[in-house]
Amino acid sequence: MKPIGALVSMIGLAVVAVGLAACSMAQGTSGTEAKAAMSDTTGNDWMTYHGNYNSWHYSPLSTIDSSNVKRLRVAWVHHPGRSTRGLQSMPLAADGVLYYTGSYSRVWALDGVTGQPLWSYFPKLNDDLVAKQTHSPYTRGIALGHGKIFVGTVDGRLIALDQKTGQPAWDTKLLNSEKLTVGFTGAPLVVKDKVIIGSQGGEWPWRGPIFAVDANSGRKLWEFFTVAGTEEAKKTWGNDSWQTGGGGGWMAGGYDAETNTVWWGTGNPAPLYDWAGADWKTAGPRPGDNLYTTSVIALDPDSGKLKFYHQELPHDAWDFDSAVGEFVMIDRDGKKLVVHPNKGGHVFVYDRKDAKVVNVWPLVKHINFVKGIDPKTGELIGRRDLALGKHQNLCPAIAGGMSWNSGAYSPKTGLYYKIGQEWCMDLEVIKTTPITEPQAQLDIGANFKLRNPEGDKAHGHISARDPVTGAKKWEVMFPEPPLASLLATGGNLVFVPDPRGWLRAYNATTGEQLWSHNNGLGHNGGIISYGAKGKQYIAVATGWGSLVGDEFAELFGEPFKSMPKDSGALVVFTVD
Amino acid sequence: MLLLVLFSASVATARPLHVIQERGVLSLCAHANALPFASKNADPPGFQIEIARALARELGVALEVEWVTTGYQFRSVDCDIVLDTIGVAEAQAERRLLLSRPYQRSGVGLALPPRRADVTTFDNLVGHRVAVQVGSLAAMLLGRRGVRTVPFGFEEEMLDAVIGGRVEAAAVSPASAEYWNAIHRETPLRFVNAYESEPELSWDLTVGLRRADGALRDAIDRAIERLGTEGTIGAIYARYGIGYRPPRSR
Repeated sequence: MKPIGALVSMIGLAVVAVGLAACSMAQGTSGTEAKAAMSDTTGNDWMTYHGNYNSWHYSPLSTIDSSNVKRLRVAWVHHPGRSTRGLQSMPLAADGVLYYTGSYSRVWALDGVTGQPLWSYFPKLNDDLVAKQTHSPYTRGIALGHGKIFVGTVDGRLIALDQKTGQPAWDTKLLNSEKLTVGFTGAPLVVKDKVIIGSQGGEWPWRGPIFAVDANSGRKLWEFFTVAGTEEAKKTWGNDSWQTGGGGGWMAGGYDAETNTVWWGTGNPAPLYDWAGADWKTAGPRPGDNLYTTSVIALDPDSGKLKFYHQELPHDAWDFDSAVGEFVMIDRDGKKLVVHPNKGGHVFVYDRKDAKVVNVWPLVKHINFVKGIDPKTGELIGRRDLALGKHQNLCPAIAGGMSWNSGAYSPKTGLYYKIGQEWCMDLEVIKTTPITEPQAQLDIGANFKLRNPEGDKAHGHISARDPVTGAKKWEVMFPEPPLASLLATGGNLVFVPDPRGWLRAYNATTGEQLWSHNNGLGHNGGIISYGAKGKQYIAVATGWGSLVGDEFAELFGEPFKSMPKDSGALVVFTVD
Repeated sequence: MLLLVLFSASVATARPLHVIQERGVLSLCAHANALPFASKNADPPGFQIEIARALARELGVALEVEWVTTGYQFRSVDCDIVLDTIGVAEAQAERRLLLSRPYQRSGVGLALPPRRADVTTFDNLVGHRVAVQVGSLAAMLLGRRGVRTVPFGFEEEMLDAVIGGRVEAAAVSPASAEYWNAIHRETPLRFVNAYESEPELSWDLTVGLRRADGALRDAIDRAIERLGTEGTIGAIYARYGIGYRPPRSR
């Protein structure tokens, strides 16, 4: 059983940015942001966290296909060292150079063919702060553009590095992490001349801002509060509870260049547990809908103003963020749509022009926090709100029906590949030991115990579905939910990195397993494909130790009980 | 955002009194920047540090401080004691802390503008705006009674909101309110021990003992008794403008 509660802190500060070794190489990619905007790339590069602005996690490269994937072999391995909580990041690739970040926001540039390090950058972090953070010290990705690499830090900074040398270009402090304990773990997104990054938030008593920073100067341009970012939204937080509302935007969003709209998913409100139960509209610690938490929001990148939004779970009482997942942009029957998974286990399909709900479909079987969600309006039906006391068999568990890693969409098959997590939990909302400064008040928290769903065993699955209707084409079951991102390729393959350490390739049309390789450590990060010197490569992050992964030992036993949580490597494959 | 922290995976091994004496060190978990409670850099360093030093002296060992932000880190930094542990067994069971004899009375009181002499209980504030710590038991209890609770992350901000007139009162600890008055003599607040009539909001403070044996608890208990009787604990609190309130239980 695990307690949870509000969390605040204040810690001393010492932040000095130190640039490290610089070597040669890495062509500066002027106009990389333009490449990222292209929905149909050559496939040699992987320019943003989600591959490109379409968020497909798809590489059109097809040299590796179903006929030769059996010959896939390790080309090279890079060990970043000091991989506390594993390696959770998504690599990027441009012009034959692979860039990635490890724990503590350490960044490497590597020759894409040989793995030879070209430069590295280890920022000097506030170690006192980092040692005390719970959602730390992982960094889940970087951004590329304007000849720079952009990386956020868990102590609240956004840093730009010269893409050729790794030398710091600027270092901008955006968050008072010393007070809030949280910073940046998600990847930034380059949009035109700006770098956009969302902060952690969730249970922490602040307003979870998303920032835009000038890519060339590092100057902060705007800040949008995911908690009560407009006067209208403030009215959805009774008793000024927006002051400590949580929210945040801790995973990279997407960009629709056609309408000049940034799409971002937001975190859950704080405090997480609302003892008001069914009276949440008028009573409890945060009465009301709590906009714009657990929502998808559409921002004007030039002004930071909200264009429109949809709140996926009004007054989220379950920690089922919208901050997870990708914004898959597809066109269907003349409609421009965006597909977005919610942690609670439903996939939302929106019209890109106004975020009107087009459809909602469940990806996982075991959902009972609501009886359903109206597929036409997105309205929740039969909410299960929590009051003080015991609650049995709430599904999905707090770890979600989907976790934060991304699925993949193949334009060749028209299918969306996504991990589902089938598990539930018992919980008790209780008085708990104070964890807040000044440690002199009792908190309300909750004890959780993950469990098997009634009549089933906890497990995971990968399914291939129509992204708009949710119709299932094929499904592969896993004894434990995979926790890494997926990759689809032009070779009609889907790559699935699993928690036991196996990387598998499936036929994207049929789901037939074609190849597997054991990387020796669970996967909990990204996977991409890129091209260099005429060859196609697959790069996958290995390393175990995320907060969700922490639960595996108790629920599933070995190999997770003995799996290290401070290790990781970038493993790159190719076919000769 | 998920916040799960594992507590059940293992039972901590004991660090009994004789091991502490052999090591010559008693370790305390404390917050690095939370005056008047504790501070890594300030001088004086906070009453938790000073009381822990006195306890270590009584045991004949040195004090070592492990700086933590949350209770989740008690296990990872492997400290022996945590001060200001609320003496409510129900709330502490999860942490597997042994509790010492209490050394101070505390709870959630009311900080008010000086002109509000009319307010003596929480019930006087039904329908009014009262600052509370987000997610706290006080927030829940007062909210259920019809008090318009306004959540804050930090007690200092709550007290500042009272001074600024943004709320009519703040539900805070006596230590925070009295320390505020000690360092803001130009803008003092009136503090009411409203918790005395509220069983759920009043408690004694104890030393939380991690992995202790009976001998260590007995030694800490004897030290607390001596330090209380000779006035050491009261003198430490006084340096921060905080009153010594003898505990109700033993």
